[in-house]
Amino acid sequence: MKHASSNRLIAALLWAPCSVALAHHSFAMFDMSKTLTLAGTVTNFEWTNPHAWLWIQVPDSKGGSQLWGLEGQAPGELTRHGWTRHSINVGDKISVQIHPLKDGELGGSFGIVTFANGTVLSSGMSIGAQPAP
Amino acid sequence: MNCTGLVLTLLGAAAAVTLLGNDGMAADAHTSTAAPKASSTHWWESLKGLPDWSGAWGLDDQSFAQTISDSTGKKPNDPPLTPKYAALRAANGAANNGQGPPGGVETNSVNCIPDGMPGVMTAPFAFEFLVSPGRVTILPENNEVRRIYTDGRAHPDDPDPTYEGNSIGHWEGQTLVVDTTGMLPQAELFVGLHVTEQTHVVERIFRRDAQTMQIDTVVSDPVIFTAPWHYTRTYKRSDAGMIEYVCEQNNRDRNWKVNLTPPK
Repeated sequence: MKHASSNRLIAALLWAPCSVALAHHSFAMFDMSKTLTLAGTVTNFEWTNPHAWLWIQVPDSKGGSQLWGLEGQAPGELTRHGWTRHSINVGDKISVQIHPLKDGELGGSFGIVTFANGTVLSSGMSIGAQPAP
Repeated sequence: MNCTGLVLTLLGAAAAVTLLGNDGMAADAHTSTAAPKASSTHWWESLKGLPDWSGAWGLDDQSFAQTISDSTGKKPNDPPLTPKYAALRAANGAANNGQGPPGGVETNSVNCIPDGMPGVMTAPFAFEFLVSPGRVTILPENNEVRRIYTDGRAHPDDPDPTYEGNSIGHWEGQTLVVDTTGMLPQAELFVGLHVTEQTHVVERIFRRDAQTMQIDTVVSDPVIFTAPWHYTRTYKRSDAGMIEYVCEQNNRDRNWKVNLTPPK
């Protein structure tokens, strides 16, 4: 079941620029100064520790597509922010805000997920911002 | 006799010994590092009047934002680091929201090594606080275990250093005061900065309201700090309970090399 948020703006403000998915690590792998928005189709959602991983196939400008691997918070943290292992499903059309890997590989850390029907999921973590009410 | 029968028999024998035993509190508990004997109902009655800390308590977002701030140096003199440690933090890969040198100081958890004390208490996990006679056990979600002895014993004279250190505590009303020393230098202060053999932690743990646990912490170490570092963190009651966290399950970040091999 999807956890709906009625206020995308607040969700976006909470996340960017932020440090989602960093429970387990330092911050060196991701470029926290960059926020990209990817749109594509979910091919897998790993509800695993120490991080959930979201895999999406993103169409490119040449008629093909690229697979991105995106790291999220641990299931415990996501659960406390209203997620379940069924929050994202294979085949879902989503857009997702990420901080990309510094090394240019097709990976990053994910924060806010928006579904085709407008439902928004936020992991709710940020630097310096007030937590979600 | 099957296994269950054997266990029941042993439990029965233990109960019989208990009934025959005495109150069992060590007379010199305040000077001994040994555990007093636990044997009678009086022992369990010692829990009367202590607070109900049952449930799962998750470090709240605001408190975790403080952990990140501490780790990245957003506030230059918070914590009050000595020049050497301020330089270490600046050189850390955690510095400047990730804009510092990549692969700076290793963090423990990227390789599934325990955070240790005091860092584990400010990691974004849920925590359980189990109050039992002579003992409080704190169980962070990441499977570290903190054993806090409240039976009056002292710290050992020369403890083997450990990630969690050696913790003794006492109750001041509804507040548990915990004194921890003897951490391994591999234990983390926060993300990417480690303690020393001189690090000393004092925590005051109490339930602020029905939904909030609060821990006021003072960390002292003349090598790391120019003055004792005081901080307060809060933990919200989580209806979701404790969530399993087995770091080795799918750690794609080992040694800072992200494994982007798609799952099958």
